[in-house]
Formats: sequence, C-alpha cells, structure tokens
Amino acid sequence: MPVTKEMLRAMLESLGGLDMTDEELEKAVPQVQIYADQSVKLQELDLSEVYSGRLLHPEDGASKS
Amino acid sequence: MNKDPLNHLTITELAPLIQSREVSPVEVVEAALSQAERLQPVLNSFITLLADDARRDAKEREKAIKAGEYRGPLDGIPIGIKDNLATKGIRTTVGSKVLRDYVPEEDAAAVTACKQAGAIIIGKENLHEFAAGGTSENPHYGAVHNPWDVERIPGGSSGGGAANVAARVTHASLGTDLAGSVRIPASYCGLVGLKATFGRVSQRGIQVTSHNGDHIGPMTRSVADCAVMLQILAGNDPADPSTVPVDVPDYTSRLGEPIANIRIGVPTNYYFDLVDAEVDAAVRKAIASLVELGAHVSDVEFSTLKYMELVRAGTGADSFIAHEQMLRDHREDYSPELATRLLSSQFSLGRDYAKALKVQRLIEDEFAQVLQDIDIIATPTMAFSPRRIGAETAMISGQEHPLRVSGTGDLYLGHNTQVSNATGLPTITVPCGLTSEGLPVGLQLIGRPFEEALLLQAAAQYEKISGWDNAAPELAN
Repeated sequence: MPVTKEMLRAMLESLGGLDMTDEELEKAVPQVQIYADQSVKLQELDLSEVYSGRLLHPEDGASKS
Repeated sequence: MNKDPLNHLTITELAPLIQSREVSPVEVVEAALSQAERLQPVLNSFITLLADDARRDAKEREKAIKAGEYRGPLDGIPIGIKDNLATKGIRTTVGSKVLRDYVPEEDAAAVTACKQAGAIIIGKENLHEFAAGGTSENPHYGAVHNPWDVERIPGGSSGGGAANVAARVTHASLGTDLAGSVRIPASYCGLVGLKATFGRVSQRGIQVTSHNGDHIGPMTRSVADCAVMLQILAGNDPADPSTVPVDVPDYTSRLGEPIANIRIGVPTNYYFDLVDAEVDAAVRKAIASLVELGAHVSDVEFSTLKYMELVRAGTGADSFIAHEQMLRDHREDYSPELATRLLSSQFSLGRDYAKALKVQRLIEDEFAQVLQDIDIIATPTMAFSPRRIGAETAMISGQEHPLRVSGTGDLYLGHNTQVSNATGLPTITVPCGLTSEGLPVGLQLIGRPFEEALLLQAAAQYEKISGWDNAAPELAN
C-alpha cells in the first residue's frame, strides 16, 4: 500500500504523535514505505510460535564438538 | 629505545618499555598530544582535547610506576574516548547541540575500567550526531576526515576515535556500536574493531541510547591490542542488567596458537550483496589465507536475513523513544536529517514492532543453528569504500550508486554490521588490504556467544600473514 504524506499527518493527529512539518512528512514517506513493504513481506511468515527476546546466554549456539 | 616514534608503537610494543621504565608515560603522552595538535585541524577528530588533564595524569602514572605500582599493559597509554561515553566532570556532548554543555557526574563503567588500568585519556572524540549514523559528518562540530584520504568519511559513528588511532594520535579508542559504529570506522580506517557479545561489556554510561543492542568496544592497530583492551573491559556489572556473569578468559594467551581445522562459513547470500569488486576480491583472498592456515571453509546461507529491514525499523522505534523527550523540548537543536529520521520512526506500528522482535529471534536461531557446525562466519565488514564527504553517492564496482533515501541518512553502511547487533554475537573486523585508491578493506569475523578468544585467535593468525603489518596512512608520519 502506498504511504502518503496525508496518511502520516492523519496518524499524527489521531494518535498524538510529535508534530512534523510538511517538509519532514515529505521526507519521512520513503522511509515509512520501506517499513510498510517489509511488513507486507512478513505476512508470508507464521510467527505465532516464535519466541521474542534478545538476551543471549553462553549455551546459545554452543558447538556440538 | 625502539627507533620508531613512540606514537607509532602498538600498545603491546609500548607497554614493556613503560613497564621497564625505558619510556615514561609523560613522553608517550607528549608524543600523542603533539600529533593531536598537528592533526586536529586536518582530521577534526576531537570535540574536547584534554591536554592539561592528560599531562597531569601522565605525571601521576610516571611517579607511580617509578614507585613500582605498574598496573599492566594499558598503564600510561594514551587513549581516546568517544564523546557519547560519560566522563565525570568533562563535558559529553554526544556530538549534539542539545547536550553541548552537558557534564556528567559519573564515568561510564568502561571509562572507569580504562582509568583503573592506568590509561591516559587524551580527549573526547568527534562522532556522528547522537551516534546515530555511519558517516561522522557532524553538523554541529564539523565532519571527521579519514586519515587515508582526508576528503573521505572515516565511517561512524565512532569516526573521531578511528581517525585518531589510524593517524597515530592515540593507541586505542573506546567506541560504541549499535549498528556497526565501532566496526564501520575501524574498517574504513584500517583498524581492528571489536563488538563483543551483548552482555560481555557493561554499557553503563553510554549516553542517549536505546540500550537494545548497543555495545562499547575498542578500536586498535593490532589484534593483540584489541585483546588487551577487551581484557580490561569484559566482565559482569551488577549495575548493568544486560551484562552476563560469565567468566572472563585470558584473551591474549591463545593469540599465537594455530587455527588448523577451524571451521569457517562464508555466506552465499546477504553479506555479499552490492559488494564492490575490489572489496570482494580482498575479502575472498583473506578467506583463502585462512585456508592456507588450515581452516576448513564451507558455504552457509541465512534465509532469515531477507527480513532484516524490519529489525532496522524496530531499532529505529527504540531510538525514537531514547530521543522523544529531547525532540519535544529541543527540536530546533537537531539537524533536520536526524530529526526527520527519528520522527519517521514514530509511525512504527505495535504489530510490526512485535514482529520485528520475533524476526530478531528467528535470525538469532538461524545463526545459532549455523554455528553448531561452523566456528566462525567470514564476511566483508563494509560492502564498499568510504565515500567522499558530502557526497550523495558511492562508486561500487565502477558504477555510481545513490546512498540516501530522501535526506534521511546513508543507507547500506550498516548492512553487514547491524546483523550482529540483532544477534548479539561477537564480531571483529581486521584489515585485509587496500583498494587501488589506497583505501582500507576490512574482513569481518563473527563467532559464537562469549567466544571472543577464538575470534581474536583467528584474527591474530590472519593478521600475521596478511601483510598489513600495522600499516599507517602517510599523514601519520
């Protein structure tokens, strides 16, 4: 779905985000578009059984040998 | 005394001279300050030069060493500190206008560790604004210049520190790495740069960070120096919940051991995307050298990395939170480029952020799986050579490529480095040659969690046969 400046402005107004100028919104569009496209790409993945989190532990990835 | 000027010696060459009192920390610091004063107008690598403090500290260490109180290989060695690491009583700008007068009340844990080891801090080093980018073209304090070609970026965000170490101003620098900010400038400036396992080094005292994947790491001129630095930095910090109580091994003892039969994986996807032909050749030659040392090389594939962009979106949302209050109160003090990039991150949806965390887990799991059968993954650190300061494009294999999206910052600089911030895996860059334009190329080695000793060993063995031989840019002489 194409991201537009108007769409972003509406989000800011309805969700109480930090104000952005027209120029800032214009520049934000391509970056948000990249994320939106990635999000669509992710629909091919079922993530329902995947753990979340980030701390690593020494036994993670330990060698079998 | 060694015939080399003091500032050209590595830490491991200099330390025995200081220990034996053949050389005084005062002489070493004077050599560093002299080089700093000569090159600051060229490199713009410091935000705050601490000449008086450094001279005072050097005299103290000289006196203590004469009294038999030698503290180890970092004692009396001049180092630099990136200006986003808190230094007690010394302003810490984070490369920003917002914090231009901020003076912390405490040192960062890593700064304390270096001071306790006897290191002499020469200055606070220039960086990308808020450490939020890979170029070190700082709009408030001026761009840092690469000592190998002063018209080019040194990489970032720890650009000032890398420029100083490469130009023989300091012997090591403490940087931070949230997406490659130690490894990018280390690679672009012909240095060794290490991001240890997430949790290996306390990140307490990094200013303005998401604390999600950030690391403090050293940039040095040799692998042995890198091991010396890690020895001082590694360990559990009860005041930093991200650190892990894992024993700290001796990082220097295995450096000379052969790496025969080590298993090296070379990715067939992602890491070699858009790699410049000269970079590709240098890295593959380095991998061939590892084979000559007895390593077994095989292909590996990381299918989950096609979703890496969403992890970047998650990182962006984390960064927005770190800046939200300052953006409310001091928007006018941000560069338009960074403000726009941060503000764009407020459009991340909760659904996508949750997915990003799960994708991050998928990537971690895939690396863990690969590292069951492989000891080290070898890749280019950077896909292409440093671009010219102010340029919007980079030359890759003789063709010009755009690097920016609508003024929101350089794309692709962190492509090969940021994955290790998502996985938390220890990763080192080591110089592996120069391009035809005389610009350094870095080999990136990624290892298993808390196996920094093996990474250092492999890097040291490669370094020995690489022909790099502590090469310096002409400007350093």
